[in-house]
Amino acid sequence: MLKVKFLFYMLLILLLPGCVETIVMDPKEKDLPVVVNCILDAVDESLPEYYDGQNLTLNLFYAKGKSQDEFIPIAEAKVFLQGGRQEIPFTYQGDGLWQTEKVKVQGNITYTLNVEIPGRERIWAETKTPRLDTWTLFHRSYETLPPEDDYVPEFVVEEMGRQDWDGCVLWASGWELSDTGEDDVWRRLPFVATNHPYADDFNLSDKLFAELSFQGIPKDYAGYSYQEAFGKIQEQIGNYPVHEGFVRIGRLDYDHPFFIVPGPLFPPGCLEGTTITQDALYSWSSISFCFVTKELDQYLRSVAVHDLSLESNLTYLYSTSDNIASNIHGGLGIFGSMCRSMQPFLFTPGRAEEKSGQSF
Amino acid sequence: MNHFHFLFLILIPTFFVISDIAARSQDVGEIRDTLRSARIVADRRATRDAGTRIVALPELRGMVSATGEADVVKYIQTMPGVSTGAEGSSAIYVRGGNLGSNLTTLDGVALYGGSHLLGLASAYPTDIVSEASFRMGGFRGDESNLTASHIDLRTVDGSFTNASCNVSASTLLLGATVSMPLVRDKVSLAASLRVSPLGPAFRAVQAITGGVLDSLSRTQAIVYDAFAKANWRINSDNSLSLSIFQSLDRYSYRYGGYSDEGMGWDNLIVNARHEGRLGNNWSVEDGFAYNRFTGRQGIVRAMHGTQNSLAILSSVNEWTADVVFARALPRKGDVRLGARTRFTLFNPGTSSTFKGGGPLLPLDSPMTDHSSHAWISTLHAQWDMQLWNRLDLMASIRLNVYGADESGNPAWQWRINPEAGLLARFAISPWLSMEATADWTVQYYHTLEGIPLGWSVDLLVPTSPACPPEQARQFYAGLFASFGQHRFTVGAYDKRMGHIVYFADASKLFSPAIAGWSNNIEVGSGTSRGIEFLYELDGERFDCRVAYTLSKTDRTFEQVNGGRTFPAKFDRRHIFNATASFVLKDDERRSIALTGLFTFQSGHRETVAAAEYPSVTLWGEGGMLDYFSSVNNYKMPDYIRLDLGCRFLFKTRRPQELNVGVYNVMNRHNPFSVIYDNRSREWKQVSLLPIMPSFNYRIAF
Repeated sequence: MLKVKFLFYMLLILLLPGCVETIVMDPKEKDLPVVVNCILDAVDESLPEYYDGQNLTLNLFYAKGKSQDEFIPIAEAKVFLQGGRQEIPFTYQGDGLWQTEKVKVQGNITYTLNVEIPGRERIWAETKTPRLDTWTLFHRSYETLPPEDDYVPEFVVEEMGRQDWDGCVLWASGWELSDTGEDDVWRRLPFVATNHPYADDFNLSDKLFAELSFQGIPKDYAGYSYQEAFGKIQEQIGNYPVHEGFVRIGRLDYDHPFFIVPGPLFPPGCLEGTTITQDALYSWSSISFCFVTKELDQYLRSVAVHDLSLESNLTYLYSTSDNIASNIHGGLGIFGSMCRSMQPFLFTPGRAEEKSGQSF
Repeated sequence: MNHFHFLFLILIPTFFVISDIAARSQDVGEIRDTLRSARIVADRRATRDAGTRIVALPELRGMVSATGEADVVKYIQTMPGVSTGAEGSSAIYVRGGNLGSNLTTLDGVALYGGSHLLGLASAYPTDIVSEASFRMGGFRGDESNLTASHIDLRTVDGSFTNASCNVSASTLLLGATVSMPLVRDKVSLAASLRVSPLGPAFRAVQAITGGVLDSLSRTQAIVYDAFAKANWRINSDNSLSLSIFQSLDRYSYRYGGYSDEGMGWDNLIVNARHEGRLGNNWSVEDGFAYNRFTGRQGIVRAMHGTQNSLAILSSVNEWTADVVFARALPRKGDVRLGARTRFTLFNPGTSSTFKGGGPLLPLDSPMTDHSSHAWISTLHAQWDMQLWNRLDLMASIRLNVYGADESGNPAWQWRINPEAGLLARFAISPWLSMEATADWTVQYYHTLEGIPLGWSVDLLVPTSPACPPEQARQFYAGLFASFGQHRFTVGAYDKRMGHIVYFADASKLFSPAIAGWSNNIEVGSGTSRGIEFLYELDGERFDCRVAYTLSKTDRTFEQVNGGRTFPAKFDRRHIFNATASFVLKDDERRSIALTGLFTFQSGHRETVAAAEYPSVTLWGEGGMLDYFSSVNNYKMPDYIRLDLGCRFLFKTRRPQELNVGVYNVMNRHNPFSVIYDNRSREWKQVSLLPIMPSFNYRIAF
């Protein structure tokens, strides 16, 4: 935003020695709205970790005035979820956090969230979870091995039933596994490049993929492999702009292969310099695909636009502000649902080994 | 019934009754006998079209401005029905329209980048303007592709007999004009050039102040405009003119010693016109024009050993051909028939890369391409007639055929949209007339507005399925009275706008994310109602003009403010402007006049957060969000400003003109915007223009 600074310096310093004055603007605290945040993660119940279901959580509190220090959590309320034929109650855990017993969130089910606070009108919201079998996303390299010099992996979204799309939107981000010694920590990579024609440009950065630099110093075979692969990818797609943090794909009716490549890469396990197996290397870096419902997408995009706007000095001078999109009737926040998928984005370690063997 | 309907229905009949009573109390016969010539003047005034204001160029030169430069837009900002944008800027919002709903034309050719100096001045010098009119209702047949107003600028012709030259200097612009015959009585030339010393001045300030500007080097500000026009009198019936106008604003700097960044915009207009008389009372005006507007932001940076550039380009290239046939019909008025066709290449917010020979990039490859083509053809007709010596009517119709290929879509989409304008004026008495206009207008180009300064970096995008053509329907009715040197106009309007655009991420206009503009547009509607009052006094030594507007403007967008209607950003309830000029001395050697402008405007609207709450994301790292009770929920303090100036005319062998003045004499800190200081947790009001000197000098040779 240097351009903005520059222009305003010119105006303010050369021509317009203006001023800033404090004005009084007290918010009306008594009318502060209720905030509800709850996202359902529809999962495949056949996965072992979800045999017993999951504890759903929800945050419930009052928005705070701009001059106030703390949020006021809401402990006195009746909060429950209705889905299918069951009613799922939430119980208060403290600090505005509410939680259910272990439950199984199913796909293609409409859930209604109810919040009843004494002295206030009923707050409610609705979401229909995505069908888990609507979309199949597969790695092109599973089917056919791409040309030897092609380091850029591609994905294909295969549609199972367009009528069940329901406005779902794909959010994708890149992740790397960092081994901290005790636990695996997934680290979100700061940029993503794609050639998908329906990628939303709103979070384009001012960088090209070629401008990203490999992070850290490779110490082993895996590190060198990653470094070389990253360099080759830069040669192939260096002229693509990168999105900040994630890419949002607003339409899924595109049947052709596309790439989503995050960056910059780090040497695997570079934090601890651990030795990894070839199988682990294969899935060391992944793309997280989240199919989110329409209302959740509107909320997330609205939040992302807001966060990006904070980087602009002009936000302070030219307000285009509006409330973040919300489907909460009688309050703020979000009640949405999604399903996730993780896909590796680098080719097999054997392939990488072959390449790295030539170089190192 | 709201208070606007009430005022509309009550005020005008009341004014009519009072005026009629006043008329009956006068000795009408004496006025007829003694002031016959005065009646002619009054009649000329009375036949001025409703909705049209003629910009008084001599009065304009005496106005005080922040740049010291006489400016047509600054004059228009004092008219009824006009709300201004940020203080000191060139932005105007006419009868509830958007900034982009206005059309400025130079000899009939659209001028899309109308500002200089970051919005402080117009891109064209007043010296090249021979006539300027401002129309916001009763649109003519040949006025199309607008929904709010038309600033119609006609350029000067060079002299066919004598050569003359003007040199001028103001606070921020230096200029010169020349008028001369190239072939005596056959071919003439008029030319003008203005440049700004802003760049050197900025570097001087930088050298003095340092500090925050230390990280900036190679600062440049190139601002100029140039105009040339040749006229050829072919014979007594035909003439040709060829004109070229170019304006340019470029601002650039180097940051941190490695990154060159800049922005700018420019206009180029080439216009060939022919005027001729045909037989049987027919005349013809026809021409061909090319018009280019480009806005550009760029970053040049060394990458991998080569100089690479990322550029965000926005351009409009337009070719226009038009013809108008006019004929005076005995006892039936005048008729004008015409056609205009224009082909436009849009390229808004396209990002491209260029390289210096490195291995990375193919040359000039568009990374995000929004280019598209549009074609507008308009057939138009206009009939001016007079009935019973009391009723003047003007009726115009336009039939537009619009076609465009959306970006990346080779299939052209076609639309047919009719437009119409009506103007009626009924002379109740020689000094009093009723007037009314009705307009149904369509605009195919949308302007995605950034800061309301009138900056020309706003994106111009064509109609598409996502952005259908803007439409407006407007009615105006009022009374016009003329008593000798005094003229009154009062009237009320009702306007409804459809398919107007709301650019949700205006701050993105200053970042590469501008390429994603198409994802941030909302289309909605708006209404505006208001009452306009204008009083003018043309005295021998004292002139004044008082304008007042009471209006209410709102917007409704399905995806903004929860679909609820909200006030427009520049919905200023009361706008009062008073200008005056008093001649202190006027003799054979010199003329000295005092000028002044007082303006009072209700504060504009800002969206201010009353509360905040944390967000959630797919990755858990939520920030803090603001809660707004509604969009544009805070009314800024009223805007009040007084400018005073003095105009000296030295009637020497080389006539000289000196305008000196003080802008914002009261040094009032008028509101520009509000900001929230996270550290102090306070809201703060930002003001830009304190008391400032204004200076303009001109000498003729």
